[in-house]
Amino acid sequence: MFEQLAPEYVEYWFAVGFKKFLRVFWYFCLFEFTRYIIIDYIIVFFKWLTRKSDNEQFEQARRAFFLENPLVSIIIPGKNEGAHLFKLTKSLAEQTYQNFELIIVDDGSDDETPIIGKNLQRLGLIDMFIRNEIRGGKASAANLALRYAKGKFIVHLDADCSFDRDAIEKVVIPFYYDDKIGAVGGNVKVRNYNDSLCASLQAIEYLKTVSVGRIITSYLGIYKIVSGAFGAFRPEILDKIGGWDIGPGLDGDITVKIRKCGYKIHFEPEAICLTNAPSKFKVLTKQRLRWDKSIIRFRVRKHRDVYMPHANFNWSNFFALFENVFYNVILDLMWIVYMIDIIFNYSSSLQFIIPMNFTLYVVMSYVQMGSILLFTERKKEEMKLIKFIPLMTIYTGIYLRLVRTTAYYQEFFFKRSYEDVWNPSKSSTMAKRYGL
Amino acid sequence: MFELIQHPNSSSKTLTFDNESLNVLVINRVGELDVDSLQNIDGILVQTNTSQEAKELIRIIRSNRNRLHALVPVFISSTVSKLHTIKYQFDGVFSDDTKPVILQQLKSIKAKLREMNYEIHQLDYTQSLIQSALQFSYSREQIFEPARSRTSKIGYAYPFLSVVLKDEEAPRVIEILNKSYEEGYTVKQTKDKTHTCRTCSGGYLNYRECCPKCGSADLKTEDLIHHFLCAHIAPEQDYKKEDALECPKCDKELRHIGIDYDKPSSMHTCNDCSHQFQQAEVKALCIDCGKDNELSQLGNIEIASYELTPLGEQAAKYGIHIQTGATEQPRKVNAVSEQILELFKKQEISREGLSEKLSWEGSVRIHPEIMSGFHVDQQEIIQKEMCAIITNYLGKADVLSSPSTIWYRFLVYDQTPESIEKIGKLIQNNISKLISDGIGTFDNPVEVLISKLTNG
Ligand SMILES: [Zn+2]
Ligand SMILES: [Zn+2]
Ligand SMILES: [Zn+2]
Repeated sequence: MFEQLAPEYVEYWFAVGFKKFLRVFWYFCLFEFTRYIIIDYIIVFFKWLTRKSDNEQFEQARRAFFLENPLVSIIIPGKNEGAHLFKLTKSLAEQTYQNFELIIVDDGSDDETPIIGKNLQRLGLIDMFIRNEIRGGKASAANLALRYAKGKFIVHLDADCSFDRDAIEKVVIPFYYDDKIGAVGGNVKVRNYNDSLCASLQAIEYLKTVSVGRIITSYLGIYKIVSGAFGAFRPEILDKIGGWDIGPGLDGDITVKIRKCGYKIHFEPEAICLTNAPSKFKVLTKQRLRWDKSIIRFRVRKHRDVYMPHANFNWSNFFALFENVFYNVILDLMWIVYMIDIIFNYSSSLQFIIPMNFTLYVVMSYVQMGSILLFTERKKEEMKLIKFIPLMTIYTGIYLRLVRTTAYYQEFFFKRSYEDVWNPSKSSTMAKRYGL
Repeated sequence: MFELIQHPNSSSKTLTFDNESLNVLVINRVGELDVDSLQNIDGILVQTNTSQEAKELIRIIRSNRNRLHALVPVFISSTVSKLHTIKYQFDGVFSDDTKPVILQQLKSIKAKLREMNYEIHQLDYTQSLIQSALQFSYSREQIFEPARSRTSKIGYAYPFLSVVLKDEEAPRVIEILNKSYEEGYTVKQTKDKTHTCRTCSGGYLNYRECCPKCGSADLKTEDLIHHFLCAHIAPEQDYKKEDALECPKCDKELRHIGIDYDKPSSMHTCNDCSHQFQQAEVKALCIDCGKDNELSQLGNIEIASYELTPLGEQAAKYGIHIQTGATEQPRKVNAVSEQILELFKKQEISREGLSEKLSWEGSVRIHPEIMSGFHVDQQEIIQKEMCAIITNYLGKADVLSSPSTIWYRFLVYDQTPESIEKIGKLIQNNISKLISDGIGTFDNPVEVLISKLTNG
């Protein structure tokens, strides 16, 4: 019965036995299956066990937060974001937590942003609108907002995002769990998942790497990136570390700086922010080249001291960065090794290996989707993404891998991130000279 | 050529010219002016010590109720101090050099004055001022040119009218001249524009940058410095270390603007309330009444010259013929007076019981603060708009009255309680919307009350 249903290549692997299977699919079994299936589900299980006390802890923190009712400074640095500002203020007006000030920094916009900003300030929808006539880059704009923020907590947002009604509350509450929590990352999801295939695939990717991925890393204490689109900070720590440094990839960089200061980073999956993902592959490729280059620039170069034994050495910081670099950079190289291994040793059975590999990844994607649906609060919408899952193998396995390899190559050998127009050249020149 | 005649019962003297055909009264002090002595006088020469006194004198002469006396040519002696500040109020400056010209002028004015009809029609004060002004202009063949004046409330003064009316009434001078223009007696040509206080129409305004939060003008302004290397950005003060600039984040010295750092903008700090902001609010403080004006609240006055039209000359010679009713309260087109509304109300109450449906009395009150921020002219425009909105929801026979810019009353006939409630809501919503769209957000900007019309 089974023989009739299963394709020939599957029967083949049943026939040759488990040992041979492991030998051929070592890359999948060792790295992908262990990390994304076994660990994920173990943690899902542990979180399920502690769900009651977690809930109590949350309620207690929430009560403490509302009792204190601290001022929260929402800061939004950006260039040419004027078109988003009105909608954003409307979205924030809907928040369950209202004791916040809104600070917008216009980083040398050359469109109508200054007019819109000044208007919204006059209408009282923005508390402080700071206009820089000369562009200084995202880091300096964020630092400027920080300089004038008066709140007990800082929430950093991107102007083109929108938020669940309780997002601000949820992203600040975790500070009341523990004084050692220095930053809280919000959960970023794709708003325009219906726009195009490109956006749908990113929506799945975000669910895996952000929504679920960060629950896991946060649980393990190795969560290493508070996304710029939605994150909360303690201002006294930001002051201590001098705020943001030159990007691109400044959100990951500042998270590492906070960790190095001895603080914990918490991921809050229920603080939800929706962002617009690039809906064209061309734009996406540009964005990912920038992000991937910053892994080399910051995680490998700037913060290399994390890997060295010294007085401030810290295992969880080491693992946080190591996991990141290992799963991106090292496994990228390992994949090449794997390909060579297969081509050299098993070239005769490629007709069984390729479809089987593909099948494994598709099955794994579905199993992962299971864990996503266990965690999510938007089950109905996210079920719609299921039909795209078979394509994820091509998206992550081929497309993203290709982009990543290109980025690493460019950055590792040519430091191309310093030429990125994302920063004004005056800043990049300085950063390159001092190796930042 | 001329001889001195000592007046019998005063210290003033009269100069006679041209074989006694022209008599000019010389006045040295305000006390010397005797209105009766103006009979048979063709002109007056003011020879006081101070310009202050000369100004007082010309005012008394020009405000004389006798039109003939009020329009008499008045010259000022070149010996009066600070002459330039009041020169424009006189028909000429008298000195040995200008004597021939002045005599010529005297004759010409005398001839023109004789042409005119001084019969006073039933004119109100404004109309009679207009007529005097027209006559003045006609007799001098003089255009009403604005003259810069420190003492005038709006900074400009006109011959004759600015003499008759006090300095504080300068806005009214413009009003009268504009009326002469509207009625076709003059044509005007804009020479300048001036902003005026919304409260007192004063033109002496002190413009300065203020804190948008508390209005204080005590502000500190600092440049922001951006250190390229570490992306730190803060006010210049944060970087100051003795004579050098040192980055507080990375401790590096900032040596060269454009290479190490730049100054992308600046920030104001209010020394009174500590508010920090980039866009200071420019406000105009009225020197006269001390009220602060937002720029949008200032009145806008056109300073023009006015020249008589043929109709104006006619009016000067033969008098103004008033057309009654034509210009009466044009702004209340939609509304009746309060008395009429009361009358209708009484009628309706006595009619009570005849109709199945009920009649209602309503009132709309606008929060006083909303209007107080506006210049009187703007208030009237808003009042009109409010009337238009309310009229929209009233029937043809219904009555609206607006006792003031913040109070509207209306009578609605034959409506069910349900529909009157709806009408009330519509009026409330639309006026609230007008206010929030055009003026700003207020708590409870509009109060609409509706009650049934009864005897009680
Ligand atoms: Zn202030
Ligand atoms: Zn610095
Ligand atoms: Zn005033």
